[in-house]
Amino acid sequence: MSTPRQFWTLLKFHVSVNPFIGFMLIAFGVQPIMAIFDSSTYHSDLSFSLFVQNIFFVLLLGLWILAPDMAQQSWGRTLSWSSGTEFLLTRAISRSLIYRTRAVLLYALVLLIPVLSLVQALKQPDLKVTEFQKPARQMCLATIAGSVLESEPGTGSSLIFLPWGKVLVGKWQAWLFIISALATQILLMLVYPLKRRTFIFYALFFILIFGHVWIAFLDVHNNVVPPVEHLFFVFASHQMLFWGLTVIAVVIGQLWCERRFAALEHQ
Amino acid sequence: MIYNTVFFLNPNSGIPLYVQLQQQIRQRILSGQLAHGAQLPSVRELSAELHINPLTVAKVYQLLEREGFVETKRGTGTYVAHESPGLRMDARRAEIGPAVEQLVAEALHLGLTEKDVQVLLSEKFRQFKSKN
Amino acid sequence: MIETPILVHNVTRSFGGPPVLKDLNLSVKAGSIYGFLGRNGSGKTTTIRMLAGLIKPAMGEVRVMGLDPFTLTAAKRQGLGYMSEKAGIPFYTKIGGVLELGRAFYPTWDTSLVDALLAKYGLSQKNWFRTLSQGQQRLFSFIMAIAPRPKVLLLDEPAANLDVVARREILDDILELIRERECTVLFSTHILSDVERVADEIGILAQGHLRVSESLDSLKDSIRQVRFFDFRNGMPEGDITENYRIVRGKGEITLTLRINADLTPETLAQRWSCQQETRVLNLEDIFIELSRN
Repeated sequence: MSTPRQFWTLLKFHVSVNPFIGFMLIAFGVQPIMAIFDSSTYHSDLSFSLFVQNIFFVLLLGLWILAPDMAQQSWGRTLSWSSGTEFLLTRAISRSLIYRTRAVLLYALVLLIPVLSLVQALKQPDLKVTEFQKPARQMCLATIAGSVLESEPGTGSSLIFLPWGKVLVGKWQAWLFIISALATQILLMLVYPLKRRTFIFYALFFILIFGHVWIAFLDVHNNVVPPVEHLFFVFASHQMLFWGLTVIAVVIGQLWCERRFAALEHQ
Repeated sequence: MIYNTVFFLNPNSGIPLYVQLQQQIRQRILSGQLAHGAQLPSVRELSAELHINPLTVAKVYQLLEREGFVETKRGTGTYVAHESPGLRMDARRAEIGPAVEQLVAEALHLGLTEKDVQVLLSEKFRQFKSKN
Repeated sequence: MIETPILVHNVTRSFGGPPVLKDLNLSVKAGSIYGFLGRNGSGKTTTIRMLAGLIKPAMGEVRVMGLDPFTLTAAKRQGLGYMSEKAGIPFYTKIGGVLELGRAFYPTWDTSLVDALLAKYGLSQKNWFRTLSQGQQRLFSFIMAIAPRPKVLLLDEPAANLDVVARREILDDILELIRERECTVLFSTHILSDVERVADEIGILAQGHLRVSESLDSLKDSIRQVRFFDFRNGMPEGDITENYRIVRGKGEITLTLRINADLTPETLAQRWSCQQETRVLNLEDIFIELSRN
């Protein structure tokens, strides 16, 4: 087992590999941070509130933190830049620890934004959203405790009031970020030993992004609840279960990734 | 006591370093530059001075001991062995051996006889002696 | 104490093409300094990276300090020092930060040695790694390799990018290390004069395996280049005798071969009724003769 000193020194080392991660973080964190200072009363559509447009940055962040050598390949052969991976692998440092500290860094950075959103949500925890589709409205009212239909002049009864809605959405976003991070971890470890790994990763990256956007705004019949919202409602009504399973999945996924990382060659 | 013996070694020649060092130490002993009973630098010191592998120096000391030129006293170091006339003569003859071989081979190659070479040798000895 | 701390046994490895290493056998005795030579692309770096535990052989096995270097635990890896071709340290680290990493993970970290070397090479703990010249970067990675006083030291082109003075200093530091403690060193290089000065064993890698692997002294003592000429009974044809290289010219044959008590230039000259002229080879000559096809 490693000492705290070893853990932190290694963590600091990982940060130094690519300080531009900080810039990436700021670039993508701007929107939620702005939201903290936003006090408008615009009521967005439920689908839109649930859509997390920054999910793709989890993939990029994962790439740069967990597999920097893979990331480097795409920028052409920069001869002198080094990720330090080979250096670390040839020191008396347990390979699982190398991977674990990287994963900790990833999750810490990834969760920063949802946590900020949650903090912001506590200021004004209630949420009002519009939902024009009847099945979705009904499911919402049925699954989310305390939700009521409010009538808004001019739009009819399509405004839903969710008490502590913002916090709920914040928790949902955090959960999405964690699942994305876990998926990124596993994806990277699966792709790592392949020859055209960087190409494959970016191909999947773009497929996922477009697919993700496409699904979120799928034009569905009025009879069916949009998939994202459906998942959200299930999440909202089974939170303990979801979090429990997520924790188990993250732990198992992490251990699997650590093992695989230690077993893979560094060519 | 000799501390600062300077040897000239050429790592880039075809002659192994140990042979070069061995020859040079032998020559200095035979010529009297290294007096009998004098202490040679330790393996560590000499290898550090010459910037070479200590194993090379250790090997040279071993070989010289086998030839009877030096002796190692456990704990104190390596010393030039005490005088032994017979050994000295043998050693000198062995030292000049390669040069003689080369001379004879060259002479045969050029078609010179033993007599021719002896004449040349006598001439050379006379020249050197007259210089001194 | 392991007798052969570095052992490569029947190793074959390719990277999606013809094999880079083919049935490679290499063993280094404890306390020895092994000069690992070979042309560019001959597989030296591949071998060293295998010994460092970064890649695995496709066939055969590799043992460092008696263990498989790929699966070394952190505790066992403390005895293995490695310096790669590239410095391999991220740009935006401070030297002090990297040293701290060393201190945290190596109980045998020699701080006084580190301070002495930093001063000697003109490096400061406050330097950012990216502000160092290439030579300084390599000197620093050398410090990181030897600071924990490893039992086995693998150096991939330690003298590359270094000026003459720095090269001599690094060699001296390597020698000092083995003078102080039992340490086995394997280093690859193109600079043969360094090898001649410092190595006691030599290996020349060509066509995927070692053409020679023995003490430098015995190599120089036994390999000769001999020119045979003036054949009175005609030139011998075909496979005339075991050799490393044969060049046939007009009325003469030049052989690079290993001589021993039974096989000398004189006996061959007698056998073929001709004259011979023998040339002693230095390491550079030997290397060139053995590395050409």
